[in-house]
Amino acid sequence: MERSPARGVVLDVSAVESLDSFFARTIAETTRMVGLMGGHTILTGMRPSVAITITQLGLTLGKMRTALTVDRAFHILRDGSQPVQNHE
Amino acid sequence: MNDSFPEEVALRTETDIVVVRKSVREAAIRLGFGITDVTRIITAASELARNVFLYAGSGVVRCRVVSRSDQVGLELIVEDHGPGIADIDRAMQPGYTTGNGLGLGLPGAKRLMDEMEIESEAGKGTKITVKKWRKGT
Repeated sequence: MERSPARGVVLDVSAVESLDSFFARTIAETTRMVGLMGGHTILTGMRPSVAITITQLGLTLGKMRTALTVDRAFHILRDGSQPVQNHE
Repeated sequence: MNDSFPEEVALRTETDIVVVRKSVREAAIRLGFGITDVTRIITAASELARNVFLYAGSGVVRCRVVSRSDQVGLELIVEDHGPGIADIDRAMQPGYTTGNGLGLGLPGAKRLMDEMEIESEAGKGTKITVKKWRKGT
């Protein structure tokens, strides 16, 4: 974020087979830091089994912006001349 | 490869949590659980193993196949000799934590599994047993 004029960070979790509350916290903290530096974080590629599991676990990741694929995330960041609207 | 049951993983360092996840994953797949249940079991194991590491420092995770009438399942026993859980009822409430976690570990693990049993004694340690039964045939 500091070294390049980046608009945001895309966190691709498509290779992640399981996501626990500790990992979720790391994602949430990263998102907050990127946000403080003026960027948006988009989480992409979450597997259905992971989405089902973390929902049941009680994780909301409520303020997290998400996209189905990395391509879509780049699209959102590129066209997001108006700030990306975060949920909640 | 049934002879590799029960499996036991010692938890001493943070990277042992990864070993737990891996060995539980293999056991769940071997037993024929579907991908979502495999993910649920790995995640529950990860939460419980993380608790051992955070609160007790070290412990052990045992994983074995269990059966009842017409069903088979996977049982995980997570045991430590840490400080114990002072108030189990409170520890089971989402959002309650005595550390600086999210407070989702125990209640979350219970929701992800079919059965959960907690034995804990102050100053002696904690033993948590969770089970997941395989659905269908």
